[in-house]
Amino acid sequence: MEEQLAELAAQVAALEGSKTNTMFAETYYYLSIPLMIIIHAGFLAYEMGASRAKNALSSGVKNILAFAFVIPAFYFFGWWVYWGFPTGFSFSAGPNGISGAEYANSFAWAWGEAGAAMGPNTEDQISGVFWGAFTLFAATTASIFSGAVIERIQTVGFVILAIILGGFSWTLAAAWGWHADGWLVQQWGVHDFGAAGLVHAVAAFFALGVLINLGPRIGKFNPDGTSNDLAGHNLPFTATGLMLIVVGFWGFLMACLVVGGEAWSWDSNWTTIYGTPTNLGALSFNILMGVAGGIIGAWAFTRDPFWMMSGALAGLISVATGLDVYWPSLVFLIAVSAGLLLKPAADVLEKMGIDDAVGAVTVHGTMGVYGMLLFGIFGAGYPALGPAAAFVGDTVPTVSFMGQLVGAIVFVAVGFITGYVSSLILKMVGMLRVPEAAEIAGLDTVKVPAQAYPEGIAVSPPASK
Amino acid sequence: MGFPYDTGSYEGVSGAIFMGAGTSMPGMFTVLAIVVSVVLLAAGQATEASKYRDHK
Repeated sequence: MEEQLAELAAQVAALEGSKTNTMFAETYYYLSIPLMIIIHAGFLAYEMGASRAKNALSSGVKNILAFAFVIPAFYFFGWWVYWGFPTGFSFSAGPNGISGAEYANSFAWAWGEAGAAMGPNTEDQISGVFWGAFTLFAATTASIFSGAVIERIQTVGFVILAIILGGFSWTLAAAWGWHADGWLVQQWGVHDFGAAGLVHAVAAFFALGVLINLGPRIGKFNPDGTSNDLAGHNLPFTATGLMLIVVGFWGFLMACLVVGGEAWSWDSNWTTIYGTPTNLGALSFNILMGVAGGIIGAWAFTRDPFWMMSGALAGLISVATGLDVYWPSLVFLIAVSAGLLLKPAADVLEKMGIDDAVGAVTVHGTMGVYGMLLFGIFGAGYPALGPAAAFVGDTVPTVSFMGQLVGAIVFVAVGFITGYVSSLILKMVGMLRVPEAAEIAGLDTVKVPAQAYPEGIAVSPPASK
Repeated sequence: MGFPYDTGSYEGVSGAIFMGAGTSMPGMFTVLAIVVSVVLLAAGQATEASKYRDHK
C-alpha cells in the first residue's frame, strides 16, 4: 500500500512538473510573438522615415500589408513547406522522422484531420504558438525586403512578392538549413542558429533579384552613372525604428531556442533548434555585445545615426549564426568589423547601379553571408546536431567552412532566384513598377486617401511661464 | 578555435561550450576588444576636436 501511494505521489509530482513546464514553454513562445511584432513596428517607422514626404504613407501601407498577407500565407501553405521540404524535393521523411509530405500532411494543413492542430484545441496549445513564432519569422523576411523597394513599386505586386518570400522562399531555406532533418544540416553540417543566412540573406537577396527588375527611383542616378542622395524625410523616425527592430530581435532570437523538458524538446535543458546546447545566458551576452560592436564600428566609419543604427543590425546579423557558442569578446570584434564594412559595402552596390533605398541588401544580405562564413572559420568542428538527434552516417555532422559556404550559396540562390523570377513575371504583366507620372507626383497623392502631415511641420510658440 | 572538446559530439558535455574554452584565446580576444574600443574612442575624440576647431 505504501509503495503504491509513493508511486502515485511520484506520478502526480511528475504530472504537475510537466504541466508547469509545458505552460511555461508555451507562454515563452507566445510572448516571443508580440516581441517580434516590435520588429514590424520598427520597420514601419524606419521605412516611412526613409521615404520622401510625398511617399511616407504609401510606404507605410505597403509595409503593413506585407505583414498582414504573409500571416495567412504562412497559415495556408508556409507551415507545410517547413515540415514537408527538409529532405529536398523528394518529400520523404528524414532520419528524425519529423519531416516529409506524410508528416506535414498530418498536422500542417488547415483542413481535414490535420486541422485539429491548426485551430483552437483544448489538448494542443503548442502547435498554435509554434506556428505563431514561425509566422513572425516569415513576416520579418517580408519587412526586410519591403524597405529596399520603396517609392516606386506597385502595392499588389509587392504583396504578391512578399507572399512568395514569406510563404515559400525563406521557408524552403529554413527547411533545408534549420530543420534537424534538413539536407544542408545532415549532409553539410550547416549551422545558422540565429538565421543570418536563412532569414536575413534569403530576404536580402530576394530583394536584390527584385531590385534588378524594378530599377532605381527616378533621379537616383545621373546619366554619367553617379548617384544622388534621395534623403528620407524623417531621419529621427528612421533611427528610432531601427532601435525598435533591435528590441524586436530579442523576441526573434528567444524564439530560436528550444525550451527543454517537453515531449517535443531535444533535451531536459535549453537547446538550439538543432538540439545542440545553449541557453538564455549565451543570448544575453552575445546579442548585447553584437549590437554594441556594430554601432561602434559604424560610428567610427560614418558618424551618421542612420548608419550607426544600421550598424547595430549589421553587428547582430554578422554574429547571429553562432550566438549560441561565440565568445562575447569575439562577437564584439566581429560586430565592429561589420559596422566598419557596412557603408563601403553599400557604396559598392550603389556603384553597380542598384538603388536599395535603405541598405537592406547590405545590412541583411552581405552581413548575413559574412556571418555564415566567419562561423565556418571560428566554429569549425562544432557538432551540427545534438546528441538526441538522429543523423545520416556514422559520425555527427560538424561545422566546416565548406559547409557554411555551401549553405550560404544555397540561401543566396534560393532568395535571388525566387525574387528575380517572380518579379520578372510581374514586370511582364505590368504589375511591378508604378507609372512614371505617379512616381513623380508622389504615391501618397496618387493612391492614399490620407495626408501624412496635413498641417506641415507646425512650429508652435511655447506657453508663457 | 573551434569546438573545445575532443569528443566531436555534445554527448556528455557540460559547462563552458564557447569557442576556445580552457585556452588563452578568449582572454586574448578580450584584450583585443578592449584595445579596439580605446582606439576607436580616441579616433572619435580626434575627429570631434577637429570639428570644434573649425567652429571657434
